[in-house]
Parts: sequence; C-alpha cells; structure tokens
Amino acid sequence: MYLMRRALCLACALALIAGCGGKKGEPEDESDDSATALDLLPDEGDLAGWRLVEPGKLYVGEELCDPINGAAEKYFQFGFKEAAFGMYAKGEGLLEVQIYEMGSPDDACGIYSVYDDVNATHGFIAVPSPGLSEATGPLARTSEGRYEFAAGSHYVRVLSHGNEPGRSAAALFAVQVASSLFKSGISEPPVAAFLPVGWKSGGTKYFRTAATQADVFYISDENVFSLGKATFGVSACYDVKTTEAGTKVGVNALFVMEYPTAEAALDAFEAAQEHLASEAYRVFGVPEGPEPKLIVLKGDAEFLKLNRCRNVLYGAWNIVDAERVNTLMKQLEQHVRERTNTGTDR
Amino acid sequence: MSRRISRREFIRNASALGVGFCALGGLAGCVSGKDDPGGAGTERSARGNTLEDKVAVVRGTDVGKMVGKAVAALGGMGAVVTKGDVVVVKPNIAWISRPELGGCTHPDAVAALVALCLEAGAAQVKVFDRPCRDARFTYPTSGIEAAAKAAGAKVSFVGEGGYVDLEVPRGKSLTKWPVYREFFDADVVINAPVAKVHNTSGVTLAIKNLMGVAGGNRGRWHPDIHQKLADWLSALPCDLTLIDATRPMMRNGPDGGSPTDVERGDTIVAAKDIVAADAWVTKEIFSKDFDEVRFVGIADEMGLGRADYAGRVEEMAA
Repeated sequence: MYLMRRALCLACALALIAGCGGKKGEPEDESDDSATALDLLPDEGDLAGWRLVEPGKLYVGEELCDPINGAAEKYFQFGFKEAAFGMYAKGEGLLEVQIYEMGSPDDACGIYSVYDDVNATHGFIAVPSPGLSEATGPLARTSEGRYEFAAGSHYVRVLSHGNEPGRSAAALFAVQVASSLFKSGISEPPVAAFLPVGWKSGGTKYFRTAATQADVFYISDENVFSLGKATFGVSACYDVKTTEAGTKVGVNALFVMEYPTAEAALDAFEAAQEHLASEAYRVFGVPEGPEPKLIVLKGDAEFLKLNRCRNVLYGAWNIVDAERVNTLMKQLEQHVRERTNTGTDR
Repeated sequence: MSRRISRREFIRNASALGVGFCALGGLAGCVSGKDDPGGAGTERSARGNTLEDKVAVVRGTDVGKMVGKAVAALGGMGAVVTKGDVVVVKPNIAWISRPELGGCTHPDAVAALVALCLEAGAAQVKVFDRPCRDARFTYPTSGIEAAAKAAGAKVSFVGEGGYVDLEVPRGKSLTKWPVYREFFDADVVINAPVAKVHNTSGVTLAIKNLMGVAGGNRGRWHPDIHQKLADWLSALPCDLTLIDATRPMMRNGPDGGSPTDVERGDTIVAAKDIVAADAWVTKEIFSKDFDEVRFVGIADEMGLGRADYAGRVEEMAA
C-alpha cells in the first residue's frame, strides 16, 4: 500500500511537471536549468494573429552588445545572464518582447528601477488572471503601448514600435509573458526595508556597482563608496517638484548602501570621506552620536549627508527642503539602527 | 585661394599609397578583414568651407523651418556644398523609436538637410547609419527612411559598401579602426544627431554620433570611451553639425523608449565647430559639466574645436 501511494504521488508529480513545461500561460518552474529566456517568449498561437517576424533571438552575456550596444552596460552592472528578443508583426503593427534574465531577483529589480521615473504610470494592467496584479506589486509600469515589469530574476519589456494595432495588443503580450513568469509574489529587495515609508513611485533606484550609483547621483568617475558585486544600495525620493518644462523630478532623496561586513562599510566610509575632500566638495564631520557622520557641501549648498551604522552607509542627497530631509533622516537612522542591531558591530 | 581636395580624391590617393606599400610587402595592416574589404586608409582632412564660426541656436516647433534658419545663420548650405558634391547626412537611426520618443534624429530635420543640400547643387545626398538595433526596423519606425527618400536622398543600410581601415594618427586610445567607406568617400559630411543622455558617455551628440560609421565590435570602445570618441573625431572631421534637441532624451538614454524619457526642447543647434555644438548642448540642455562629459573637453584639448562657445552663440526664433 505504501509503495502504491508513492508510485501514485510520483506519477502525479511527473504529470504536473510535464503539464507546466509544455504549455505557455502556466507558471514555469524557474529552477529548470535547461529552459532559456527564449522559452518565455509568447507563442504565436496565443496572440490573435500576431506572428514572429523571425525566430526569437537569444543573447548570452556580452552578446547583449549586439542588439543594444552601449546600453548593455546598464544590464551588465546587474549580473545580466541572457535575454530573448522576439519581434512580432500583424499588418502595420510591430511589437517586441524583450525578456532579460538577471543575476538575481534583486538585480531584476535593479535594472527595472534604472528605467523607472516619477512621471511613469505605475501598477499593472487589468489582467484576467486572478492575483496577478497583486503579484506584480509596485514593480510594474505602463506608458503608451509599453509594459515593463520585474518578476523573479527577470525583467520584461513589451514595446509597441508603431501605432495601432500594436499599442492595444501590447497588453495581451504582457499578460502572456507575465502569466508564464509569476509563480508567487515579488517584493522589493531587502535593502528597501531600511527606508521610511512614503517614497514616491518611480523615484526609487537600486544600484550595485559604482557605475549604477553614479547614474543615480553623480559625484565623480571614481568608485566613491567602494561599491562592487557584494554590495547593494537604494535611493528613494520623498518629494516631487515640477520643472519649467513641466516634467516632474524627484527631490529630497534618502539612500542606503549595504556592505557584507561592518569593516567593509567603515573602510568605504573613510575612503568616501577622503575622496570627497579631495574633490571640489567641503566635508564636515558631525560630532553627534556614536556613529560617524558627514555633511558635504558643494559650494555653499548642502550636497550630501553620509552616516555609517555597522554594515550600512546611509544618508541623503538632492536636498531641497533641509527641514524635511532632517526629519526623514531621523526616521532612516532609527530604521537602520533597529535593523542592523544584532548585538555586535558586525 | 587654396585648392580643395575632395574626399574621393583623398581616398584614391590614400588607397594608391596603400597598394604601393602592400606591393612592397611591408604593411600588415593592408590585409583586409570582414569589415575591411578596402585596405588601408588614413586620417582624412576636411576640405574646408566658408561657414561662419558661430553656434546657431534656433527655437521653434516647425523643425524644417528651424533647420533652414540655423543653416542660413551660418552662411547657408551653399557655403559648404558645391555643385556636383556627394553629401552624406548622418543622422542617428540607432533605435526602433518613433519620432516622438526621441531615440533617433527627427525625420523632418533630416529631410530639411537633404533638401537644402540638393538645392545647393549636390549631385547626391546619402543617408545612413549603422544602428544598434536591426536597420530593417529602425529605418522605417524612426520615420527617417520615408522622409529622407521623399526629400530626394538615397537611403541605404550600412554594410552594402563595406569598410575601410582608418588610421588615427593623433589617437591616444584608438589608433586604427574600420570606417564606413561611403562616409569617408563623401565630399561633404553633415553630422545630424539627436540629443540624448547616455549611460557610458554622459551624453550622445555629434561626436558620439560618429560611432555610427565605425565598423567592427564597437563594444570594445566602452573602456576609455571619452578618449576614443575624441580620437575618432580627430580622424573624421565633419563639415557641418546640426543637433536635434527638439525633444531631448533627459533620462534612460541612449535607448529610452518611454514618452517620459524626453522633454520639450524645441531647439535646433548648428555649427561649423562640432566641439562647440556639443559643448553648448551639454551645458545648456543637459546641465552637465565637462568633468562628466569628458570627451568634449578632450576634443577641445586636442584642438579639434573649441568647447568655449562664449561670444559665438546666435539665438533666434523660427
């Protein structure tokens, strides 16, 4: 009887695996090593007459330079592994699906955030699959005929390159890919938990390396904060101002950078202090509290606040309202102390 | 009056010289690769023109009219194009990007330049780019293919004419690289980029736009890209630069793709001095310093133009 139950369970499991792998539109097992991003491209049969212009293309590692040249550098900074590009056409419509597999779920959020913006519309399309919109959380955005989201280790773009009918069909494609990818909910990377609530959608940027940090707030071409593959950071803006051109930009931003050890964070803090002082900045230490703190001026304006607590560097930049930022910094400081308080200065 | 040597004459001479060296068996660089069917070439010199040395900045919304006014402010297309010339208008057609998304040069700007060249007596105006994405999609989606053809240009994909190795004698980081032969062969080159931020070079404007005539694996340019861009310019001077900043890409360049990546710029910038044109847009449109956009400063230091545009700017409305 015991052996019969085991055989039945095994048969059910095999049937389930076969079923999941064989049909688009059902959750895919991301642990399947043989699957590539190509397998996630929508099937022509599901897409109301849209046809692949040519077979989908797979780009592995540095091959990403072939289709997007210098823009590939953004992806390499977040552990890019491979990407599948599929171009679909129907009549005059032209529509593209790009699926990027990144180094980790944090990296997928990272590259998603690189392209994010406070002017974008966030949230996901109304989809027929129950629970899907909840699954995407805040890591999805739309604009005219364009859908983007992060899911697991994947970053997905569905782009309508023409006018109608591609713009309408883009939603259909997005749903097809999303329903293949989402097995469970997706959340912001752990480093975001340090931040006080209330940041503006689209104003959150993740970074891992010096190059990605410089894209968020430029200080110099040097690796000012000693960032690398083992570090991960986030910057989030808490207010939005409108420029003369009518565009919204994020201001009053906080940032957090997590290092593997407290020693690494201390080294990074000291190196940053030295570097900032050597550039065209004025650096002042703040003799307050047990942890080292800096205020950095550019000209007469406050440019940066930089604090360290255990294995975390944190602070503020893009400071427009000093009082507002001071309040946010106190909340951030408390969060950092609570969340890094392991009893030792690790 | 000094004699003007055409590019075609120049390449003929350079090729003949190369063949001579090859015959002597002493020039390994003459061995052609896949992207280098034409043998060795050398740094080319601009033939010179009578355009005024100023930066014309035209504001407005009618792109064709703005281009006309900008070129007129420099002395008119007749100051650079003479009867029978073969002209290349080199826009940015790198991305599968509709005109409103600002990934490529505005098609009306390209069409206006083509029309002005033909009016000035050009025998032929060629329009091409080596795009990042597939040209079969970038050319039509950008609107440039249809607009340039309608204006009378020959629009072609790169690769059909092949590449020729270009020596870069003044290069510090780039000493030799294949250049698209039709660009090198042209009598007149008009550099017509779109203004965008760029994740590796800070911005992409006219100097960076010259990567679009480079063959080979351009990914190898990314280390030390600022010096390489200036080096490349040192061997490929342009006769006229016209930058489309009508809807500059302020975020997520060079690919962008979202309407929120661009802002209204309503500006066309033209200059004989490519460095001055890039410098003006870098500072006045993108508010960036040459500490970040280093290739502009390097080009200035190499004597390829002057980044200091003060006193040379003429602003006008169209």
